[in-house]
Amino acid sequence: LPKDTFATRLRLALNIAGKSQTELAEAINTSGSAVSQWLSGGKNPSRLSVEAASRFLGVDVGWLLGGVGPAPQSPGVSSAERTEYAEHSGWRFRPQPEDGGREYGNAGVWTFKPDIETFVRETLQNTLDAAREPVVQATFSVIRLQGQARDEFLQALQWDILRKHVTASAQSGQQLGQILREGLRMVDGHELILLRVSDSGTTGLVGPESGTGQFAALCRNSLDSDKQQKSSGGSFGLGKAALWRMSALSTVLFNSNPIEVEEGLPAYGRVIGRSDLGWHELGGDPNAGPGWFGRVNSGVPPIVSYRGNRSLAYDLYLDRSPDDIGTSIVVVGFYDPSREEPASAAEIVTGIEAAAARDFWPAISAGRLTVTVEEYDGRNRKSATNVDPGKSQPAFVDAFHKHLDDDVSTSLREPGDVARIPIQLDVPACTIQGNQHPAMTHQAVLLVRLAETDDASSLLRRAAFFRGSGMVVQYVDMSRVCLGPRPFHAALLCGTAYTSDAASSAAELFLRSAEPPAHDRWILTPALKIGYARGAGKALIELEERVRAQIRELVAPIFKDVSDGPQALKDLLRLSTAATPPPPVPRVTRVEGEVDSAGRWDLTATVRMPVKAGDGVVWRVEPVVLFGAETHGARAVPIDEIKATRNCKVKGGHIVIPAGKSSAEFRITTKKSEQPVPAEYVTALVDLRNATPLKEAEV
Amino acid sequence: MPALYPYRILTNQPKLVVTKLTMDGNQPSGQAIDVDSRTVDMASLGLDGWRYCSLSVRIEAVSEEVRQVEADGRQVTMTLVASASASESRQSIQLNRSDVAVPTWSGRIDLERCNFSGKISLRAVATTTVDGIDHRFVGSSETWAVWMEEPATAILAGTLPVEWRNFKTPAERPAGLDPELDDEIFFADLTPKKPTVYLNKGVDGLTKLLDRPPADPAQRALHDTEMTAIAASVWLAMFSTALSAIEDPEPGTDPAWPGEDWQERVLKLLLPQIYSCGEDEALKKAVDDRVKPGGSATLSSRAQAAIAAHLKATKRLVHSIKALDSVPKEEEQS
Repeated sequence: LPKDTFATRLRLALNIAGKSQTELAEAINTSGSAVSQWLSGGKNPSRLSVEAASRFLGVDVGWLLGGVGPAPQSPGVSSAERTEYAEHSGWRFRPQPEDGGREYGNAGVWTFKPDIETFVRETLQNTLDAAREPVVQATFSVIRLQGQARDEFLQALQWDILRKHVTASAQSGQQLGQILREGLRMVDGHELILLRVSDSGTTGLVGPESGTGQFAALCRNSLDSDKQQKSSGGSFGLGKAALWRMSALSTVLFNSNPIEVEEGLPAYGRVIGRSDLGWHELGGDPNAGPGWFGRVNSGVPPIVSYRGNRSLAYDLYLDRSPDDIGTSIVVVGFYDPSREEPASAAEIVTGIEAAAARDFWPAISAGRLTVTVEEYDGRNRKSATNVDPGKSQPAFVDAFHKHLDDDVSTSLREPGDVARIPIQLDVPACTIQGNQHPAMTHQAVLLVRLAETDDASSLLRRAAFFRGSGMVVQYVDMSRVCLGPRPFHAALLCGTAYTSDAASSAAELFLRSAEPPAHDRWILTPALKIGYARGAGKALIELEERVRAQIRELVAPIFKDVSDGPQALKDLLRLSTAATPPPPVPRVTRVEGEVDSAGRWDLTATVRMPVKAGDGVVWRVEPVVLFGAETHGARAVPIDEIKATRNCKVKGGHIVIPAGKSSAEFRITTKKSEQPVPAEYVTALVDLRNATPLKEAEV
Repeated sequence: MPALYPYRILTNQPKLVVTKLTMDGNQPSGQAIDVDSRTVDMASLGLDGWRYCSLSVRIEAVSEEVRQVEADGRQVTMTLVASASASESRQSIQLNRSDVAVPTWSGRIDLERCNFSGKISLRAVATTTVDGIDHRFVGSSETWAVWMEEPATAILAGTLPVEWRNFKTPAERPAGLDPELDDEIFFADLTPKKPTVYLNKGVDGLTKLLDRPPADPAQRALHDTEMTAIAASVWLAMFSTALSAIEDPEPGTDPAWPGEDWQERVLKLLLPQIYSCGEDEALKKAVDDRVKPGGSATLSSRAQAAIAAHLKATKRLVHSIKALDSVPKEEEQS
């Protein structure tokens, strides 16, 4: 045990009170550096300062000053509980299956891009899915463990046992083995980093120890999503794999205060750990891979969650107040696999803040989610920041707030203006059991906010697509909607993100089904193909096209027409060629043929009529063969022979197509003697000229 | 009009993308390349004083088709062609090939600014040897439009500039307008490069009448009628100018569209309406009518009808008449 000094007593008092050095300094009106010096043993405080500190931290002044008097206790921690859990807790690994199959790790963990952004997306999505109250709170705590603090944590985790399994699994040459070797180096090195994610206002992990339910889905099973709501973020059950992917020891611990507890069980806490190792052999026993830490059970499963022991939760950094319903998760040996150099605790904190703001500004701005990011040295909290997307994503948040305040228009003039445009999503008929509905039309809403011309944010000219889950599924690049668009940010609110009618719920489920495991796009997934009538893929493409068209309309540049004349006159002088409809005359739709042995082009042309049968119009057309060249106009060449082959007659060099025919066909041959160049040197085109509609009597 | 080749060609157009633009060897800070509209608009960068530009391109073709065309040991070569009909300039380079994933060609073309005018069409042409003849055409990419100078019509809005000027003030009077015509309502300066319509703010009350639709029904009717009349006159002038810009074709060949982009657009919009047929046939008919005795007059009157239809002139007039009819009633009510 460390020597009992003023510094160690003050540190203990701070930890138990859950206060930071800064908070103490502010409360007793001294400087942060002074408190820091007291904690390092460099200087001793004045008696007045000690009295003020003892009042603020709620400890006996005699004990803080000289170790005389009652020492403070961590809430709920008792030596009796510690003795109890030391006796009854343990690790058990799943034995190798009878067929001798070996799996070197959980395939689910390789589904994700392993970085902090993915981790934050997956964990916050789970938090929102488990929401029980209108507002849920998520706290990410980056905890650095060194020296004694690390040793105490490892002792509670029964590291001596787990280490043997991790070492055995690390000996495999597989990818997981490399990660575990890195994890072992981390434990033996300078510090061990834990990342704790705690949520409040959620349901906690309800359900039995195994089988179905939230607890089993997260802590026991693989590929089990157990999400019932249509707006749930996840639907594959793969998201949780991100937890193990970010642990260099592939080990994650849980403690939950569930909203419902089965009768006869303690209300406080259910602690369980899972180590997702690969196949390994230890002491002659082959193990399938995964192992669990908790209360050793004589039946099945051999490990169950350890309930009602707050000391165990505290020692594993999983403690929660008994009345705080929700779940705490600790990723043991947290690291960022996307980086070559290990990330420092401060870098992890920054990464989490940025990712939460980037992907969850809809939920945070709507007041449904608050996210706090903390940094700890052992039990000592060094900093805590509430994520404010208004700072890092001000444009999107401003657009969203203006939308909520109805401070919107349908066009954009000045930077800061927000346009709100309805966008249609055609949801095909759904055949999913329990969710069947006919084809429906959902009105999503598009927000487009004009940015300052010098805006250099990385998400400029992107559209954030999201639905009721409140997580941005994708930032779609809209920088090429037109030539030189004005700077803007856009957001597409789909499903229950905007309205809550039946069509919105249908759209919510439809779009959720359109998300692949990483939930980062809307595409034609197998789930859409199975659960919906044809047209699902088309509906998604059309949705994006409609968004593009609307954005194009809104952000098209104020082009360099500096002329000051009336716009109405400019509109009348518009030189758009797209408006001209093709004239209703017969057209050649298909030509087949070749250069025959006599050196002539021998061609068969199919003609389609502009009007259907029954209107009494007979068409007379003059067929021509043109020799095409790459440049200049084509040249008409003399015809040797025309033969009617279907639905037409030849009359004086013309083709006559009787009334009531929708198509006709004729064969035409060029005259070799009058061809300006050999037929095999040119391309041949067949055209119809002087198309004339006639009455039957005129023919 | 589908064209038939006497040998196998690439039926899917190779895809051409301009990947990089430099001007005098420097990459401009603005974005001039737009892949969606296949346009390079250097004028939009607002840079001046540069002498040449370099366009880097990449072309991809369908592997299977290239394989079939090259079945007899032939080799497809890809040539990048930049041409501008207004300045009658044309330049080409052969592109380098790499077949890492799909057949891909790439290269860079340098274009001197002084050699080109108006719209530059950029496309890649694929050729091979057929029956012992080299460089036979086997396919081409879609065409990109490259603008070194400001287009005569705005690329996006596609309309002519309309400016207010006081025709009575020599400093403001549009160049090309006879000083004796200083009380005309408008003047359409249809120079090939920069066609512009000028409105005379020296005419009392004209700015008030035309600048924004008046609320008063009678004035509104007058506003609409005057606007339509000006537009119809400008359209007819544009049509006549564009028609006369068509060069006489060589005997036996079909005529080509005029070199200026705006002229081609005017003709492609009106001629199919006038002749009720496709664009190319209509162009040929117009050129034929142009030289026939009395043909020009007929063409002119048919053009007026087509312009009226395009502007929905009759509908606008009926609307104005109805508006005027409602005026006395409103006065009685008040």
